[in-house]
Amino acid sequence: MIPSPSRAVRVLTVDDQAVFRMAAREVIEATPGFEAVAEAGSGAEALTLTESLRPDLILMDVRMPGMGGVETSRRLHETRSEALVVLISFEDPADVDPVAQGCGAMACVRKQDFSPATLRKLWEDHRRIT
Amino acid sequence: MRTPSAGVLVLLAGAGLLLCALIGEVTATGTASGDVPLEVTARVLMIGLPIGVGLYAWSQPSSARFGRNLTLTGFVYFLAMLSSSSNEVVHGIGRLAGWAVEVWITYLVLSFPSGRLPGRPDRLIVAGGVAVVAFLYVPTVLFVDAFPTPSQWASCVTECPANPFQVTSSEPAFVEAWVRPGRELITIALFVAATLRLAMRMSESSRLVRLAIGPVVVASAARLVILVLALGVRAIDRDGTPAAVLAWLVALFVPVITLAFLAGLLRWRLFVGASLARLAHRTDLHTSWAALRSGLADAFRDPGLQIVEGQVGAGPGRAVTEVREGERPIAAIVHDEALRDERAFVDAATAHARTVLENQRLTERTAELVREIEDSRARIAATADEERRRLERDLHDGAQQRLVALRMRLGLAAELLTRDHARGAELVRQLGPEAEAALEEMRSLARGVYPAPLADHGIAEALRSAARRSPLPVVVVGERGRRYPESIESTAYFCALEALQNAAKHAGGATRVTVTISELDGRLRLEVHDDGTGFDPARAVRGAGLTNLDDRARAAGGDAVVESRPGAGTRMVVTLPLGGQGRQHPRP
Repeated sequence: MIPSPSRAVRVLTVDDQAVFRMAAREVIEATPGFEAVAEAGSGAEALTLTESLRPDLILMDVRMPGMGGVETSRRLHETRSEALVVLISFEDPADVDPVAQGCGAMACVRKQDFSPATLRKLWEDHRRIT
Repeated sequence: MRTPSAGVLVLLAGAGLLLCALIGEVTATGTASGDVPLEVTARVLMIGLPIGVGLYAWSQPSSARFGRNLTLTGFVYFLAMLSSSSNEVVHGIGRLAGWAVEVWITYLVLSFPSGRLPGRPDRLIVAGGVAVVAFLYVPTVLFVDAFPTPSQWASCVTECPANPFQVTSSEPAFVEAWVRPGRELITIALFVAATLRLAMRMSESSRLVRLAIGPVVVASAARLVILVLALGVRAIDRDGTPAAVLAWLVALFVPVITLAFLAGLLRWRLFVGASLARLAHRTDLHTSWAALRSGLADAFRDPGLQIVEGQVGAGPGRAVTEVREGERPIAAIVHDEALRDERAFVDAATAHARTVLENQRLTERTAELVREIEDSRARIAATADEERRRLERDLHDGAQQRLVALRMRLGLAAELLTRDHARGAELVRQLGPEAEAALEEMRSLARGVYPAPLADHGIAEALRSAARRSPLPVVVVGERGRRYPESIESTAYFCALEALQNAAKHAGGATRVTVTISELDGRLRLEVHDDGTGFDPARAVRGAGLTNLDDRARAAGGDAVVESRPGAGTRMVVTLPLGGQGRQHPRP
């Protein structure tokens, strides 16, 4: 669904680290047209919140205890969620990609590169056209 | 039975010599026929040899009983020699004693070399001999005119003294007709039985026994032949020369049999000596019980030798030697009965058995220690891995996150400054404290790895620094600036830290913790004492922290001891070796 200019892109941040969630929220809030709707601290919480809130974009940390980012992403893909999943990681995306093949995530981004510009680019490059 | 002391042996030898002198005197002055010197020599040999060989045998534990009996025989022969006397009564006593001696020699031959009759047949033969003397010889003393001549005991031939014990006026006919031949036949039969019995024993026995009784069998068989001849010739032609000669030969066999005993005893001794030498050549005796068993069996030529644990009974012809440790039986060696009293064998076997046991214990202990070391090493490696993981986790969760957030905010700030300057500036201002927080995380982490105070100023200072962060009051007693080898300081520091943490967590009611660092006998001594409630060491479960502490201390070549009593606080003492001396840190 192409968001109309009046409707902001709703973003769900999933990461077990509170420090990152806070920083990500600041970036999202500082990006016009984007809204941070919720934060999840684990893969399970992410599934629940996606179900209830239906975000447009999900920022998924790869490395989480319990169900990791890749697994959560796969599950979401199975439920045919329409959200765009972007994997966030410490490591080089090149290291993450092979593992993440076919899990349903559209892109992988380094945590420290996450800025308003990155956010916008991600959305424009990968949004689905229904 | 116990062997007599040297003094007793000398005393008996002296008595024997005395008797020899006496019998020489009696013989020389008594009824003599032929050469006096020859007779004296012969009679002295008949007394002296048994006493001499008997004393030798008595001095060896394995033949002590036999030796005593043989020595006794010499003294009894002395009595028998009294038949050389011309005095009727003395002659009579001598002849009576002579009859007893015949049975006695049989007993000696059958009980050689241990001095015990080995089996039922032996006991029957000896009993038979005693019966013959008791019923067919001794009673006739009351009836006969004179003792039979010639005899190995009497040196007289024709002019022998009359029988002083005769009660009847003349000799009844049946004595000459029946009793005499009868008893002589039975006597011969008994001697044959004894010789055969001895030969049978030889075929059944171990090598050692065969060696010992071989000469005796030969001598016994020869004596039997001569005896039969002598009795036969005496019956035919009593007064002729052959009868006298044969009587002498029979008499001569007493020294000969005694020499056969000596030969047997010496062969025994040689065999034991050779066995010990064979045993000494084996180098693998102590490796296992099986090796010892085979070593003993080969050396002493006893293939049936067994070594069993615990206690066991012996079969026929076998004996058991128990190896003990104090009161406790360790093992039992089942071996040839002949070796039962052989000191050399018993001592050697027992000593070797003890060594085998000692070896086994040492091997087990070594294996145990090796296992302990391997376990400890594995634990240390695992702990090291765990600490690395913890470090990685701490870095990841703490400092890394902060730096990433910092980076993100910098990117955001850069963008905001162009769009919304005020907001951007505000964000930049916030970044300062964020950076500080990240720095603090890293500092704290570094302290966990290797604290700066420890590296710079030594253990006393580092512990004072740690003490400031402890919830309990901690006093550190130690020389400021005194340095030790790095690994020792590090080990002592982390052990002390563990102890401090334990005190903070578990020491209920503690008001103060005292940490003392000192040197003693080239070792660093670290003591952490708290005055809390303490715990009962018998019931406390060893936590991972204490095990780690122990492992660290041991890995550094020292040890850690934790003492506590309910109500008396807890004290941990770690001692660590100092390779060189601790050195004074030069003041900057």
